[in-house]
Amino acid sequence: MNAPDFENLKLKALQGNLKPEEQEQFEKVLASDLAARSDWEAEMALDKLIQQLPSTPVSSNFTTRVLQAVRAENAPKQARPAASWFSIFHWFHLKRWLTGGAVATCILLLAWNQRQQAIRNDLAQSVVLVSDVAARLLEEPSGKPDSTLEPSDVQLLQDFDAIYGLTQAQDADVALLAVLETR
Amino acid sequence: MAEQNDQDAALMQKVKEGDIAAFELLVEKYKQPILNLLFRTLHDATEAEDLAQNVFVQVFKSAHRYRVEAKFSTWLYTIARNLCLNEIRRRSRHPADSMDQSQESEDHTPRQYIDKSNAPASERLLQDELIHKVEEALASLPEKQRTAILLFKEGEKSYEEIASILDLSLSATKSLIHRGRETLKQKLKPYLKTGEWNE
Repeated sequence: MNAPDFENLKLKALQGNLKPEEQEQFEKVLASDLAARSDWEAEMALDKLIQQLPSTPVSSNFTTRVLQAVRAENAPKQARPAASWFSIFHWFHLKRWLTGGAVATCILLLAWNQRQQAIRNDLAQSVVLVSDVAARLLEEPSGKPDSTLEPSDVQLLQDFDAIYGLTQAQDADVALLAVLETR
Repeated sequence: MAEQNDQDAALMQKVKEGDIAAFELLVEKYKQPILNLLFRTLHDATEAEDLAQNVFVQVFKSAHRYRVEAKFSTWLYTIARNLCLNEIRRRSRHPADSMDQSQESEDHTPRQYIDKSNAPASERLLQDELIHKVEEALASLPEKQRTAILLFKEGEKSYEEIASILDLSLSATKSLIHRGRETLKQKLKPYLKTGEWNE
């Protein structure tokens, strides 16, 4: 029998789990091999030492203290079921409100950002248009309108203030319109 | 053994339903082996007892997670070992703290011990010396080796159960026990030769 096989048998023997044929084989090895026998004796002596280690003293009221602790653990849950349910309910709603608020804020910020972007784009287009027309006017030193300038462009510049004013106009004067219609 | 497992499983089933009396029976049955294991890892009787108390409280709190097909003692020892490792980690982070301090405020019941020793003083001295040597040799082992050896002999666990508690393979567990025992045999050689335990 090789060493690993013997070790295996030894581990089984230590737990008292040897089958009859294994027991016989094991005893044969112990009888024929002095080193194995001495090792086995040391194992048995070690077992005895470990098994006879004294038990750690347990306080006589250990179980009572455990049960007290268990009851104390359970007590708050049983004593204030409404309070704990309320707190869960409250926290659940608070969390929903907080999440909803955060999402709404994000949407509003996005919308505001989009609107600002659109305004900036409109403004940029207007500036490009005006600077284009102005550049073409400046290129004509004679003071005559640029031949490439379309009449609508010139008109746009001349009426710029009036057109700009129209976009800022207040609601129509209904009373004045009524008077005009009667005439 | 299987009958005992069935008994434990039946008691745990009752504990799951909130039966405190069934829980009390389990505490009575396992308090000593659990405390022995914890003491030999923490080396402090008071802290070991506080931790053992926590182990049983944890068992009660986690009762709903216990599966009847699993062996109760394996589940219990796994909880005990995990809590013990947490305690060792906590100690290494806060070496000055004692677990007892944290429990003082909630645990007002003083511990009561019964003195069982009645051996003559000279015998007790020899016995204490040998105990000290064995405890010292055990304490010098790495945690896994020590736990495996204690479960193997004191807890009378099978290799499979020890493997499950330590979360190791069967062969790794066997090798761990073998190495641990070899170290112990080396350290306790003189006492193994005389072979006598003075009682």
